[in-house]
Amino acid sequence: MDSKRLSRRQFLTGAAVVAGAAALPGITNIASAVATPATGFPGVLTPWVPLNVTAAARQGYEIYRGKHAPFQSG
Amino acid sequence: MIGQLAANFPGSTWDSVPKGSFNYGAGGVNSWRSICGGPNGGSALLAQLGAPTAVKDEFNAWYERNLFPSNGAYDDFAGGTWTPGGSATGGWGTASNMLVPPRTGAPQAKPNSLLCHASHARWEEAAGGYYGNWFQTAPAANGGIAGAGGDRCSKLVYDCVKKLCELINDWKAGTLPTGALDPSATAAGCMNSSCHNGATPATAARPVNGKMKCTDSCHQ
Repeated sequence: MDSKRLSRRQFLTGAAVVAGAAALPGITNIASAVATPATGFPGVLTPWVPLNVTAAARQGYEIYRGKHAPFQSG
Repeated sequence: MIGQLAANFPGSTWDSVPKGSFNYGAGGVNSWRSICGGPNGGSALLAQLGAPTAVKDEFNAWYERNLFPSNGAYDDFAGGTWTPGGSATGGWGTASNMLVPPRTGAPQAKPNSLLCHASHARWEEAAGGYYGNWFQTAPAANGGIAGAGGDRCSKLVYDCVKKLCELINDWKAGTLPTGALDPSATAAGCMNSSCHNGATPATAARPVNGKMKCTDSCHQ
């Protein structure tokens, strides 16, 4: 365990790197942290591939029927 | 639909979305009977796709006024090209549960609300109640009495997914719906009525916001 502990020199070196990085404008800019969260999934789905209406409806039925119907008596 | 989006757009975010992400919506969110899982999951999907407000409003307003369940799922099943629980289902549910077919000729009712509680209760009323004929004569092949409600909601999901896909495909093809709200929820309706926008603030109820149908739901 002792071999994994940081020496004083190692600790100070690491702290200096962090402090130096923090001084960089690009890193200290917190705009991204407070930006308005994205409301949709990223990526543009183009060209659009039409959804198969019937296949989706069938699977919706199957998912609900298989997953929940046994627990619902009305 | 998540599965289709993942298949149609490999490498997109949809590829990593768990396909059961919206299963919590069943029974109005974990059986709390709040918002129905149809408009709930559908609205989430539309939001993530970046759909315009008209599309979102159209979907929910359609749900409010539509007669559920349609016989679409049964007609599809009766056509002979679909056996519920077939290979398309992948790992969903169990084989015994997946093989319950849609029942034809179910009573129908307009939800007049997005709430599961109102939606299901109105349908149950139309069906003669739990002790009525529709429930009590439910064939064992359709889950018996205990399966009558599930039959209705499964078919409602079929209807909602079909409508949602159509709206999305139309929108992507350049056609937008009107997104018209129920008249009672408009400025010409309750929003600007003497009740909610009265000239005498001392006697008028406070202004309200919202898009839900007002009458024949919470307000009679």
